[in-house]
Amino acid sequence: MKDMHDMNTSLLEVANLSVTLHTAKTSVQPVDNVSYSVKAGEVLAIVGESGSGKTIMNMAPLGLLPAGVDSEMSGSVRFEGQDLLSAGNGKLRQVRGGEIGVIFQDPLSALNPVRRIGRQIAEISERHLGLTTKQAEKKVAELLALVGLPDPLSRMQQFPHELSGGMRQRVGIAMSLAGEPKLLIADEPTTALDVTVQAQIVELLKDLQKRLRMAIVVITHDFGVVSGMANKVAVMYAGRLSELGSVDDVLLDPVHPYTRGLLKSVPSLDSEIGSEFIGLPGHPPDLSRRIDGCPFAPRCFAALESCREHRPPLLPVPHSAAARVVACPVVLNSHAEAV
Amino acid sequence: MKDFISTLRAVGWPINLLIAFFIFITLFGSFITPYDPNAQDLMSALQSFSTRHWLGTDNLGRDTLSRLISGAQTTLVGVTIILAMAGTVGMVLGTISGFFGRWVDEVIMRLVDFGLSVPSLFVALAIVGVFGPSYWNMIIALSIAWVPIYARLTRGVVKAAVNQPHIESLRVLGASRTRIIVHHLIPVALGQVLIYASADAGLLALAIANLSFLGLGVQPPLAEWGQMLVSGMPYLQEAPRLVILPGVALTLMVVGFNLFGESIALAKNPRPLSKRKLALRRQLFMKEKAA
Amino acid sequence: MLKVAINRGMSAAVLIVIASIFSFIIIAAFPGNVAALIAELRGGFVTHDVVAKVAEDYGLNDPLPVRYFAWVGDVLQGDFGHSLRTGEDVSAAIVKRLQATFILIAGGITVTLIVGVTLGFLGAMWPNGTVDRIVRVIAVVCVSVPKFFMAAMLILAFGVMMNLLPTFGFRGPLSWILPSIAVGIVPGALLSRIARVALEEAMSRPYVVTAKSKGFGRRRIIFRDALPNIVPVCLTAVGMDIAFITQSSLIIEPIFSWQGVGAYFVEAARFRDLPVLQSCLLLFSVFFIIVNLSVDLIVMTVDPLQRRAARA
Repeated sequence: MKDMHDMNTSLLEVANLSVTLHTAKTSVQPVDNVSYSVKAGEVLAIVGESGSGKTIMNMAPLGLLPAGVDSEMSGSVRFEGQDLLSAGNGKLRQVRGGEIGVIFQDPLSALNPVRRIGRQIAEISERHLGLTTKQAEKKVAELLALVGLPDPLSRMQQFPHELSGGMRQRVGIAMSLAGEPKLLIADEPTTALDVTVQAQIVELLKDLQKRLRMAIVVITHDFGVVSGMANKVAVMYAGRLSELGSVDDVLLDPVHPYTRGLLKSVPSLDSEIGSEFIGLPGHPPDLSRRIDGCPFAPRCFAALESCREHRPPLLPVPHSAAARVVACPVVLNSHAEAV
Repeated sequence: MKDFISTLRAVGWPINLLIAFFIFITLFGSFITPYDPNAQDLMSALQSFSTRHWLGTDNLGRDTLSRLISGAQTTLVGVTIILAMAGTVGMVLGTISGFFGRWVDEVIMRLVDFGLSVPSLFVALAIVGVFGPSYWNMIIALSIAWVPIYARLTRGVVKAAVNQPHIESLRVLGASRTRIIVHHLIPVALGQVLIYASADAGLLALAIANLSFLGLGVQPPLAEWGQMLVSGMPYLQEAPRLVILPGVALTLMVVGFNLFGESIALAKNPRPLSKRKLALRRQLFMKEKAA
Repeated sequence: MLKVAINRGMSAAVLIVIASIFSFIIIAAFPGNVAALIAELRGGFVTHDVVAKVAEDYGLNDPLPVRYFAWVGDVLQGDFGHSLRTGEDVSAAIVKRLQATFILIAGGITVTLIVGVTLGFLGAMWPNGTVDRIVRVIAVVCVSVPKFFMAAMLILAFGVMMNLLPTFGFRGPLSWILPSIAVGIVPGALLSRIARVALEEAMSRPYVVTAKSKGFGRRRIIFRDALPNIVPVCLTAVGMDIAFITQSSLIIEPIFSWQGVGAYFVEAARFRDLPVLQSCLLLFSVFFIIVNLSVDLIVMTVDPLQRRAARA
């Protein structure tokens, strides 16, 4: 049935999502009125600096925030038409692992140190696919082979600390697949790994996506990952969406000043040796304060007085694909003139 | 020191209040005791609760309330002296051990290991057994028994601090050992030791009571709860209050210290906010947003 | 693994040597004339000649190292000397008293486990709820109650008021109940607190979020993911509890008039019965060192993280 799902309706539909976190000392709003959607089989990359709310935005609706964090959400997050924010605990438990798989940033701390790898994966298939212990173990062996772990049967008997970082992340990926989900959320899947391993993991994810035809939301700050596997990119800044569009459009022709700055700060092999590293000036704003206007204005080269007063709306970019939107009227105007 | 104050804040006021109450009694108890705690009056022995003697009298006719207050003094003063002595010696040993390392560390830590593997009451009892029961022998014995834990604690803190870049750079810059120890290591260790000591006070209060209960700690006629309890034991049937009152007083004091220690342990873990706090936070946030 | 085990064993051996030196020195440090004390305790007239003869008999004039090795040699052959007070053979007296102490320790551990597991379980099932709060209060109060007060209250309730259980002497299983409870409740409460704090810590770890992402409910996560992680902590706590219970025997045995090793030790401390004091201190120290070692080794085999560390 999965494959029958209409490619044109959205699998995940996020509308006007805001998340506020309360701790004993402060409240912050790391996600502020964000909307986007993911179609079946599509790969959406969400990029932004650390602390821009990418992870919270994806984890909070699933109830996967760390212990001791209280969150308050508004808006809607529809998965196959059902709103997760109003769904009960039982429904959420079915969605987690069964419909939506999650890959975590640090595979070492995300895996249970005192349980064997095989069991940690098998229990998901037992829970969501109704497999018996034997069937589940067989499936785990297949999964481990699928994610490229040599000698899966003996790996299943091992503990997480007995594997290398790259292998652990492969286990993490196998784990996220064990319930045969339709959507995978990968939270910085390569950040905690060695550079050489990073490329392998991206390659693996891309390959799996093609074979299993899953949708993936990959959260990252690495443009290598974006160009390597995504179809669509959402750029986040200070809890808000600043630009959304297809990978080719956004990477080759960034419109929002923040996206441009981000892309410029990526060192490239083509740039001359000794050429100056270009970073973004200044710091992201404090999310516990109220932000009027464009949050990027203080760091923006194109900022006008009006930018600090009103929140810039997401507007379609003229002469480009329909799904392409940018939250910067200033640049849009000049863009329109230029074309 | 800053650590210590922020910890107090994290503990919560009921516990701090309970401890403050006992400290108050210790400081000003002598002014509020209705009778001389040691004044015997055999004519009014073993009286029950009355307006003259609020909490009754013991087998020698001494006023129980006065003796309970006096007992609080004995315990807390003892605890303070022992903690000060054990803490100081422990900090010195721990600092030496952590700072110099190598064989000095090895020797000191082996001794500490031994001290930690044998429960303190055994060590204290053996020392009192050899030197004879008296107040000061008890203080010394318990201090010795309590040194290892502080040495271990300090060593850990010092070791962690020594490896930090800013201490490393001080060394490179040519700061003398004494300067590093006195100005940079001791203050860090002191904060930790103070926190631990305040949580540890309950155990010490119990240890003093245990020794005194066995007749090997505080000697009569000085009032002490453990000893009051043991002298009340023969009257358990006719006047159980002589056993219950000192027991409850001691339990309360230890509960205070233990809760204090536990709050410290728990404060390290993130916990979900209580409903009330969450609502408060929410309101505050809305206000900030609206402003 | 084996290497680490041997290493631990060596450290334990070093600790035992330190224990023997400590037990020896503390007696050698006796202020005043040991010979005079012995002569006095033996009764009769204390003259210079008698004191000199005692000193000669006990080898008190030899240098300390010689005396130490002579003593260690005796101990290794099972000769702990004679009580100054009663003249009784110390090793025989201790053997006679071992039974009571072992029963007390065994009974105490049973009570500890029952109390600890029950309270810990109740608290974990409904975390931060009413049950947890009540359990927490009970546990904190139990931890804080002095052992002798607990014993006195048990005697008052079950002996004096209800007249249900014997409160005096070591006479059959019924008489074991109250002392076991008196000695086991506090470590039981302590165990439940340690388990509870460890569980709360474990539940704040990332792997719990992972388990949640698999679609499991809280209870299952507690049992499958968090509990296995706190087993080593709990085992260590049980080891500490054994030490604690043994320490309590010093207080509880005299209260219930049990002729155990703990009571023997206290008696020796009261009457300055130096050979007994020395022997008991050494025996208890060695006992604790061995218990610690066993717990370490058991935890090492149970905890996969330590197993790895041990192999590397």
